[in-house]
Amino acid sequence: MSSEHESGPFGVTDLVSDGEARERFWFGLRATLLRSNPVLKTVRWVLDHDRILVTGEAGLGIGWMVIFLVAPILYIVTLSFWKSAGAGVIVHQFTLANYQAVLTKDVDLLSLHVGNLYLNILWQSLKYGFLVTLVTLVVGYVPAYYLGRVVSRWKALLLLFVVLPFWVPLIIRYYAWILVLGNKGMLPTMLSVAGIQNDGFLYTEVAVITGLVQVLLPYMILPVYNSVEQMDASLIESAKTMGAGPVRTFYEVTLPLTLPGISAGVLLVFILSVGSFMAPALLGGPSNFMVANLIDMTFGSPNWPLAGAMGVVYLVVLFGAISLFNRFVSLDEVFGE
Amino acid sequence: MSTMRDDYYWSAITGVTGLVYLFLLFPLLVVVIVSFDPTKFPTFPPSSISF
Repeated sequence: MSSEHESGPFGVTDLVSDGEARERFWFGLRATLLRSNPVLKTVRWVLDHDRILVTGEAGLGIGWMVIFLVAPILYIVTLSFWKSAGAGVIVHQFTLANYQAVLTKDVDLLSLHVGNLYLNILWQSLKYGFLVTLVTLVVGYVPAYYLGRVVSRWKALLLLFVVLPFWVPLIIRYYAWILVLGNKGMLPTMLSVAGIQNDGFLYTEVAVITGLVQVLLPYMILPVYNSVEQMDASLIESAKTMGAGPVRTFYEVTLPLTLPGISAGVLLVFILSVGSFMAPALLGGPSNFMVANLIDMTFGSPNWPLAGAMGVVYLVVLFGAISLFNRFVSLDEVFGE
Repeated sequence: MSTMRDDYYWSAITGVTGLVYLFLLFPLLVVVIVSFDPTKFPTFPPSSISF
């Protein structure tokens, strides 16, 4: 014998409550609309095909790189093969003369033979880059180690102090060094009082390197600090327990474990220091010019194709230096690949 | 377990860290002090102070 509900005109659907029926009605209506609206249908189709979304995301990233990185470099490369007709006029004719001038042309300044100006300045830039990186590593490793191992409620504040210089514009920091290192600045005055006669340190190699080290120090401290903090502290304790002294523990445990941070810091500081423009312009003299200053002067001369060729040679040399670095320290390991 | 030698090294690391912080923040300190210099061409340290 069947109940009243089961024998009703709608059979089993009679068992469904009013609320559920309303919900089903709206769900059906939404589905019908989705099927009928071409825009919504397209959106639904895209959402159902994950690969399209992934391709779209990758396309956005690649497009961004092409527009803002590859295209400007390609333009500079193209520019470097065009002719300059003087006074900023560019003739769209293929030539290798710019590269010939960059790589082989000797220069005489005020009857003084200076050889190939570009290659000399490029060599000087690489030398400054190496010195700045070395000093920054030696000076920056100790605070990075301290920050990574210290247990203190002031740690966040100490980390903030490392990035605090970024809050002050670069040019103001360099002007501060002009006041300190200049002829009547604090440091020369103090040295004079101590009986060491000097003419100040401004417009010298020391000033350029000091300014660059101070500015680039956070780029070394932060990656090394990150490596020190990720290091398993129990390994140091184990080394000590097994009789290793502090120096041996450092060379055999701490240093190898912090190598990824050191490599990242070295790479950042080297690239930024070799391409530095403001430090040699403000703190150095004409003899301390770096490659960015020479390229800037050539753009202003105005000989854009020649400046383009200088830029391309600089890129190739820097790429070679990084590849050489990669042979000793695998960058894949540093960046976690 | 911390030994006396460890304490000595840690004190040295703390001291060097303090010096590096001084070097890192020195230009900022100079900028703040020079901002009180009344002259057109400031020197460091300033000869007089003005608000």
